[in-house]
Amino acid sequence: MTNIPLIEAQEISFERGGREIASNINILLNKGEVYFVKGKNGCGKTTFLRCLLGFIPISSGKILWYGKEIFPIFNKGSPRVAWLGHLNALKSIMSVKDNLNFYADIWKVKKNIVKDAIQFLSFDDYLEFPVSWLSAGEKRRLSLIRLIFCPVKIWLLDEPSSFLDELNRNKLKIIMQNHINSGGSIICATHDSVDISNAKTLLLD
Amino acid sequence: MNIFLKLILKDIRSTFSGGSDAGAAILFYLLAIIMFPLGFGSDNQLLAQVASGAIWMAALFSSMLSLDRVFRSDYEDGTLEQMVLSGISLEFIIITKCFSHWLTNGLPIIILSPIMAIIIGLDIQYCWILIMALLLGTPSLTLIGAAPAALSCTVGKGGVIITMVVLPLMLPILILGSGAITAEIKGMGGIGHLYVLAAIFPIASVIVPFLASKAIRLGWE
Repeated sequence: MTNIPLIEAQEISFERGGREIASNINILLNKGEVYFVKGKNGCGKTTFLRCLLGFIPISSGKILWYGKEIFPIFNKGSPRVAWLGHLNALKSIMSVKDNLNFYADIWKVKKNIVKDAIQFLSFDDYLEFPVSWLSAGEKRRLSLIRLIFCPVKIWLLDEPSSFLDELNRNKLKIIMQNHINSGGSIICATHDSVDISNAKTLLLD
Repeated sequence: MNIFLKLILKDIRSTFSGGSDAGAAILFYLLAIIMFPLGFGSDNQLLAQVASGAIWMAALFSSMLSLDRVFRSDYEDGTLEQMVLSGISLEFIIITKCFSHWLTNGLPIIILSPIMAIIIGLDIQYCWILIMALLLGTPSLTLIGAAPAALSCTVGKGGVIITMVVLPLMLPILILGSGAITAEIKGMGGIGHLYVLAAIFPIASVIVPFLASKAIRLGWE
């Protein structure tokens, strides 16, 4: 039971607009592991992550979540994966607090966990602001807060450091390291070189 | 059930906290009906004849105007992705979105309709059938418009496309809805129309969530 890999991709290929952009990719994500997905622009990093989630159908191969062929987007009940994509999924006319509370509510997260996450990224002063007043970097930080309190083990991150300044990039590294230390797993598409212990790299070209 | 209320509450909150089309669509409904007497002149008898059609046309266009935003904002900012990954089924989300669209568009239209009927000169004794027809028809207007709205939010700007696709689909509701009132006025009884109108709703509510979720999934690909 314990040694079932969290995510397993076997020989998968995928295409965009009829053009095959990657083929025969294998990935095996176990508990406590980090994968960095690297490669030049347009090599399919985002597509790969979206294939794993089930948004984009793969043209061949097999993707298993917890040993079963059920994609997270078809999974009912509690969330299985935290997804930080290009879109921040924030409602710009709602306040920062309302945005966070909405997800805390549907994920059934305790108030103090949310509070800790807010404090870690020093967002206390912005709680009543509508999201439309925030800068691109601040919106990104807000999605990181949501990522921290998401009650799941697997994180899929697509260029999480975009728009972040030096200080917050370091915080992001700490967040990722903490998640690994507490038994979580991460697949992260990025151009940065983040030094996290035991990280594996998947190079797409 | 709990999650149903939470999703509705979020939709309504983001609809009313400024800058949305919901209020504008209701205002359009009011203004369009008020324009009719100005266009047709003050002939009360003529107005009474076109009253039911005018109210239904205004309700239909108002519903269509506000349909574009039903899925678009959540689709474009990624909220829909996050909700689906949270283990809520897309079909369920679509049902809640349709329901909150009806709450913010269909319901105000029904509540305002007696006043509108008086303004345009429909005899007060036919108000009940107007309200009944709207009560049975507006949920179907929302549902039938929802599938094209889902399709259009995946292809960029869709305001005009929605109109083209939705209008023919909404024709039966328009014909039956305003036909019920006309038939009642002519003394033939409008109940028959209402029965058929009522039958559209269950069919639409079964088919639409699947069509709309298919459209959104295609957009994600």
